[in-house]
Amino acid sequence: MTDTVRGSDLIGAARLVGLDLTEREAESYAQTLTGLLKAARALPVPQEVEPAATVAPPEVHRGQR
Amino acid sequence: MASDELSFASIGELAAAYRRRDVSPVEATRAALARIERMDGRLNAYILVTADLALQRARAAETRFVRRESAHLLCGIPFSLKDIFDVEGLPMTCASGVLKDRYVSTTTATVAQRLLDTGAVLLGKNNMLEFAYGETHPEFGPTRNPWNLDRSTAGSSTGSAASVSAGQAYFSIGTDTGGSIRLPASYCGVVGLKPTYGLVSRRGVAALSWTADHVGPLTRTAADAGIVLGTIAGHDPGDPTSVARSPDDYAQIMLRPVRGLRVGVVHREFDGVHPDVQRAALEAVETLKSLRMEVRDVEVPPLEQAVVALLTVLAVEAASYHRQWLAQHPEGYSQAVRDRLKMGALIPAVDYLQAMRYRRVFGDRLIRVFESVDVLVLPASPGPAHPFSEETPGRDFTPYVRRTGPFNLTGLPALSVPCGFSTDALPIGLEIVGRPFADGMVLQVAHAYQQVTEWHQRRPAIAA
Repeated sequence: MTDTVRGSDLIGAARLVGLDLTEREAESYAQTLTGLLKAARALPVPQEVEPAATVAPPEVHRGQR
Repeated sequence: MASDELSFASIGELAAAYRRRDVSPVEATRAALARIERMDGRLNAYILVTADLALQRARAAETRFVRRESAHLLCGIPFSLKDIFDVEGLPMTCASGVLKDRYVSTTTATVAQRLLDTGAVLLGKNNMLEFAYGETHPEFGPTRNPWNLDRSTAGSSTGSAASVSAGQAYFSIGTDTGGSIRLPASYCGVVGLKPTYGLVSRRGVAALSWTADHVGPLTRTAADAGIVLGTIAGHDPGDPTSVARSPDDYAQIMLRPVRGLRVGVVHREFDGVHPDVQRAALEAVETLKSLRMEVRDVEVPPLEQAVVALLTVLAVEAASYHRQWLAQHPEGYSQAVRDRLKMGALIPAVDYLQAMRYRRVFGDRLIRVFESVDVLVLPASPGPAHPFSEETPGRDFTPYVRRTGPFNLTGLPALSVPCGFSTDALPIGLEIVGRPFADGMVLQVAHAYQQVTEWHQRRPAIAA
């Protein structure tokens, strides 16, 4: 997986999800997405960690007074 | 009660005045409607004003007081709702061209229903950023800051904060996915509470990001926020993420002494903010110390990483929620929101999951900080209200949500309380963050702070 998103790649990817992109949109989105994805992929996550569930956080008793 | 005194009374004061028969719900409602009529051409805080319905409900409340029937504390109290909540029979726009003139609600959101069941008086629905996604739709225009009409109200609960700040409503209900209650509250000088995720129902609320959306009150005092939270919180089987747990007695918790509570000061986040914000927030810490709270410095995991994860998750979930509307009514979105939604649809699933995995890493690390402190404090926003000229479409949210978004990612309760003013007379907010479901303690600290400060008693000139 490359961190640099290219506009030309996005046009095809967009079709996969039912979107039509102009070349101008694709170039502009590529720049923003490159920044976001580079940062997201750099988030330190140990391999054994599973995704957070979409439920409320657990109540914490540790250290409660 | 004089007109100004009436419009800026607390919920408790107004409820007591109703019971003494000093003021009637009809008088309070007429006063609020008159202020909306007088100011809203400039503020643009309301999308819909339901004057006839409000007066009808106010008369019903008045009858209860005349007959000396028992009534909820919110009975007859005028309030507003961000235009993202369903109320049966009323249009809902989410300040978007997609829903405008197309959508009338056929059900009522759980939170709205709980408030209506108390006899509270709905004044109308507030302006907001388009679909709560960071942009002003040109057909709706921006809500102007009551403290300076050339300044922003942040977002996305723009009209909610402005209406409470300007005395157009006694409280409002907003939503918060990255700071959308707390940032407008900070900019407008009111209290904004994002409760613990799962404590307040999201049923009947248009989603932005299911796993980060929260519903909460905007009020002028922490005590008022506690009254409203106690009314709207509680299990709702209609919301799959609602927790099976009764709300605490927030009014009681708020009265507990704060002496000895441990306050963690996130010092790193006091750097890099506007000097006026830094000064006001540090002074607020000194005030907490004077209340005999134990103040200590703490380190928290990197907030900037949490914001990256939040914005990734949010972008994908928003794209999923809007997929059908985006296909059917692309012209109904502003260009900037359309762009954000399209980009969200192009983020690979593995990156969404990476962000969701980091969410667990960050949450676990943040929870451990609460082993040594009871609450965290940090500035709510990087600066006082910015000029509208800085609101370029498609701008990067990161600097704005850096100190608020991490608590959407983790679901922790977080509140902004007015803690001072900038040299150019704009309000500043201090954020107080608690453990999961320690919403009462967050309110307790804010309430104690408001007992010894007067920032929340100042009123914008437009409201005079």
